[in-house]
This record gives sequence, structure tokens and C-alpha cells, in this order.
Amino acid sequence: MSDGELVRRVVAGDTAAYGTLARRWFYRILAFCQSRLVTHDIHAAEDLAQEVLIRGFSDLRTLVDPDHFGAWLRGVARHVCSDWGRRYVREPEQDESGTWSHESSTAIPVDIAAANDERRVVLEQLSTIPEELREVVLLHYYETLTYDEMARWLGVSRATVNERLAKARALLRVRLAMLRSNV
Amino acid sequence: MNCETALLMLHAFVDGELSAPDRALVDQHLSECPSCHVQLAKIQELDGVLKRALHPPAREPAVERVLQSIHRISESIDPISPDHAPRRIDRDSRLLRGENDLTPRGSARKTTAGTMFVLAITLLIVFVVVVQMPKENPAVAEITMATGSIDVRRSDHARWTAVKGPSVVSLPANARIRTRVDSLCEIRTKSDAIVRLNHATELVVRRPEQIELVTGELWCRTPSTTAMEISSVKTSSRVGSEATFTCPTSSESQWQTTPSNPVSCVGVSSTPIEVAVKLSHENCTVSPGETVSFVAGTAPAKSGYSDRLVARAWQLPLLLLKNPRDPELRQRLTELLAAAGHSKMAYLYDEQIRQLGPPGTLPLIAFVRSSESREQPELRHNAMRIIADLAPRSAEADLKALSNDDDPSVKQFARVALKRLVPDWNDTPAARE
Repeated sequence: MSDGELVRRVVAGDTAAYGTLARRWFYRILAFCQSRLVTHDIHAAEDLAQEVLIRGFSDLRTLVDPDHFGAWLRGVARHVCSDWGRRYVREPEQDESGTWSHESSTAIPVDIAAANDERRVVLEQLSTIPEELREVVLLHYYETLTYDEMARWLGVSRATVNERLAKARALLRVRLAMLRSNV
Repeated sequence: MNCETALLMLHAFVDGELSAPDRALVDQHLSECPSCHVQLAKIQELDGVLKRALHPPAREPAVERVLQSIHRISESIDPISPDHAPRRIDRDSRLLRGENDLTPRGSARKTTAGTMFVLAITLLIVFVVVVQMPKENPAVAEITMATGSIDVRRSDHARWTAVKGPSVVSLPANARIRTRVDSLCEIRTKSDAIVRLNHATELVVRRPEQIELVTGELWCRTPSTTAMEISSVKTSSRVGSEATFTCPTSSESQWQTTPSNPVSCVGVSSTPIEVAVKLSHENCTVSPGETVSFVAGTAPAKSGYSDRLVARAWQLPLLLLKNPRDPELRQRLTELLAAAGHSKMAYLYDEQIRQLGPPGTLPLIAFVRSSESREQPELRHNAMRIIADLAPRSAEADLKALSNDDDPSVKQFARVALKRLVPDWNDTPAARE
């Protein structure tokens, strides 16, 4: 079912149809939000992506052309991200006793720890490259979009997508290599 | 194929984005060029690292949370908890109760009777529970927008709970709402008044037409049908025990206070408003830009002057949450543009403004079209001279409006601009529409 048909269903009262839209666009919105945050906190980006999708539902009646839901949702994401600012700090939550909750400190297996470490390092270095390069990398690895699909989503040419991906990989390769040589 | 071309295509080669002929060309080059082969290996190694590190997070939990939120938006909070909802009886439960006649005809009759019996018991339970449960007050307002986390206390006996994001939240009578140092929010009352809370502001929604400002700053716009009563309970006898004011219908005002300080009203409307002061049974006129402080037992004290745009600037992050076509947002942006145009005309030389080219005329046009500019005809005329020479085609609608201006000079310059931009433009009343 096309985006336009799903949007018309949602507007007619079928909120379940919005679930299909949310699943279809989640990773693209996540990549957009994560590329806009300076922090490498993936949870903050997920929170933002959820806010975008919720806002998209709330504002759906303002969408003039249902067949262009994706581009419109990208505009919604832009507004949401600018509200939250480029530096988002995840607020700790208070439990009922009024004390701050803390994450568990149980040990984890070495191989999972190593994988988490590699992920953390890559996310850290990713946050240091320019925003438009960051987004292309996240789009490519989160959703394995083709260059043409990424170009349509970003509103640029296929050649620009190729160039941005190449530049991003070159920067990341150099920075990751420098980290290894400093260990 | 040379190395330079091959290197440009290597990323697309690794990602499977090359056409078959291009892929074959790159393959052949790689088989002949050790240097490019090394580059390919580096890209493949990095690709592997990025694939492992950037595996996408699970999508379903996030989508599920979104659906739960939109379900709440669609249907509002259900006072009956899931524990009280009717339970379905399944086959296994019936077997456990000894209902073991499972012949098709017999089981159908037993199913119908059993279902009716269970339905009757469930309805009875639901009826008893609903009657016994303390009913929440009906909603008198709802939170429509927020720029971050805000806290809500639904009654004096309830705890503060954090509310985040754009979900619409209903507020019963006497609910308290509190913004944090980094959040703003907007509420709409059932009487269609709009109230916006600045950072670190707390208020109580008593009724759709009555709010109590505990501390902080709020902006209020009343509808054409209902006035809004704003009260504030004081902790310092120096400022009186309680202050209550009535904002008239179709008015806009901004209020500030803390528990130990007087209540102040800032005139952010473009016209004066008459505020009724309950204790003194008198009206007080608050002019645009004026700040008026109210202390019990003394006359309202008028102090200072604030620019209306600056006084309301804190609301911009909220307005930017709205649809770009929202009239209030567009009006506020036009006011800001007009202020920029006024500053340019007041502080820059003609040549400096002209150097900005056609885009630089947009703030000037906004300034000339603003009501405030009519008090400065000379600046208007100077702006129109520049507009006549440089305004872009996109300003045609504004220029047509200015071609009907009361000021003959403004009218003339606008028509010069239109003739420049639209060669076949005729200076007739129909064309100026």
C-alpha cells in the first residue's frame, strides 16, 4: 500500500495504518535525528525519532499531498530536532523514593564488551564528522538504501550521495586509524 | 580505466551500486593494479567495521511506543484500568471448570449460555466498579504543545508526573502544571483561551475561565466570548494576600510574578487593554509596551517600557512547533522582519542597504506594510525608493497592496516597482487587486 493510501486511512480513523507508516520510515527518521545530535547517544536519537513520528500523527491533517508523506515527515523531523537543540542530555529519572535510579553494574561477557566498545568508538568518531556526511553513513548502514533511494530522500543527486559516503568513510578511516595507533 | 577513475568508483563497487558493465571494468582494473586493490581492501575492512558497529536498533519497540502514544492521543486517557476490563473466556478455562461436553451441537449451546452468564457477571462488576471509583473531574483544559519535559499534578493529592513531547494531555479542574528551566508549554482551555508558560513557571487551572499564576511568567489570549480571570496567592503581606484580575475578551496580555513579589502585567497587545482589578473594583489601562505592577492597597504602578516583540520573544520556540502556514507564526515572523527593516532604515546608509540586493528589500517591505511605520513617513519614503529599484518579482503581492496605500509617495513608488517587474502591468484598480 502506498504512503498516500495509508495516510488517507489514518485520517479516516485507522490508527493502525500509521503503524505501517512508522515502520516504513523509522530508520530514515532515526538516521536524520541521530545525525543532528552532537552526542553519540543512540537512545536520545530514538527518543527524538519517536517524537517525530508522534508529531507526524498529530499534524497529519495538515499534510497537503499524502503521497509525499516522507518528505513532509522530514520537515517535521527538522522542527523537532531544532527544538531539542544540538546538545541533548538524557534526563535521569527519579523513582518513587525520590532517589535517582542507576544503571546495573553487573559484568558482561568479554566479546559483548568488545563489540560495545567498537560501537561506542565508531559512534564517537561519527559524531565528529560533518552532519550531512553522518546522515548518509547512518542511512546506508541502518536501512541499506540504494544510492538512488538515498538521493531521493536527501534531495540531492546520486553522485552527491556517492561523494558524501566516500568522504565520510575516508574521514572515519583516518580517525579510527589514529585511535588505534594511540592505543 | 585509469586509477583515478577506478578510485572514484570503488565505494559504489563495494556497495553493489555499479552497473554490470562498470563493475566488469573495475574488476579488470583491480586485477591489474595492486595499488587500487589495496585501497579496495581498506574500504572493505572499514565497511565491515561500520556494518558491525552501526547495526540498526530494533524497530518494533520504538514503533510500539509510538502507537501507544497515538492511541492515547486518539482516545484520551481511559479512566478504567486494564485490570477492570472484561476478560475473554477461552476453551482451556472452561475445561478447567469441568465443562467437558465438547460435542459440536452441545458445545454451541453451552458456549452461548456460558458466554451470556459471564457477560452478565462482568457487566455487574464493571457497574459496581464504575459507581464506586472516585470520578476524576472533567477536563477544563489541555496541554497542546511543549518544547521539553513539563510536570503535571492532576489534583492536590496526586504526585507530580513528567510529561514529555507533543502528546495532548487533558487537565482536570485544579490541575497544576509546571515548566522546567528549559521547557515551555501552551495550554488551551475549554473556553478557547490560550495560555503559554515561560520557563520555570507554575500555574493552577481552576476553571476554563480562571487560572492561578503561582510563579513565573505567562502569556494569555482570551477568546471573543469569554474573559479570563488570573489570580495569584501571595506569601508576603507586603504585596497583599491575594490578587485577582480579569482580562477582557479578545485581549492579549503577559503576566509575571513570584509568591513574594507583586503581580505585573506587560502590555504586549497592539492596543491598550482594560484589566479589571478585583480587590479595588477598578479598571486599569495597560498600554502597549507598558509594565504595570499591582500591590494591594496602592494604585497600580506603571514602570518601564518593553518592546512588544522582545517581551514575547520567549514564545518563539513554541510558535516554531506550529505548521509553517499557521497565521500567528507568519504574523510574528512578519513583525520580526518589519523590525529588521526598521533597523536597517534607521541605522544603515542607502548605499549599504542597496548592496544587499533584492533580498534585502524584503524586511523593508515588511516595515513599510507595518502599522508602526506610518508614524515615520520619511523612513517609509526612503525605504520605498529602494524598493522601487530593487524589489524582486516575489514581492508582487506586497507591492500591489502598497499601490493602494494612503500615502501618495508610497503608492507611486509601488507602481514604479510593479511596472519594472511586470512589463504589461496596467495601473488600474483591477490590476492593483
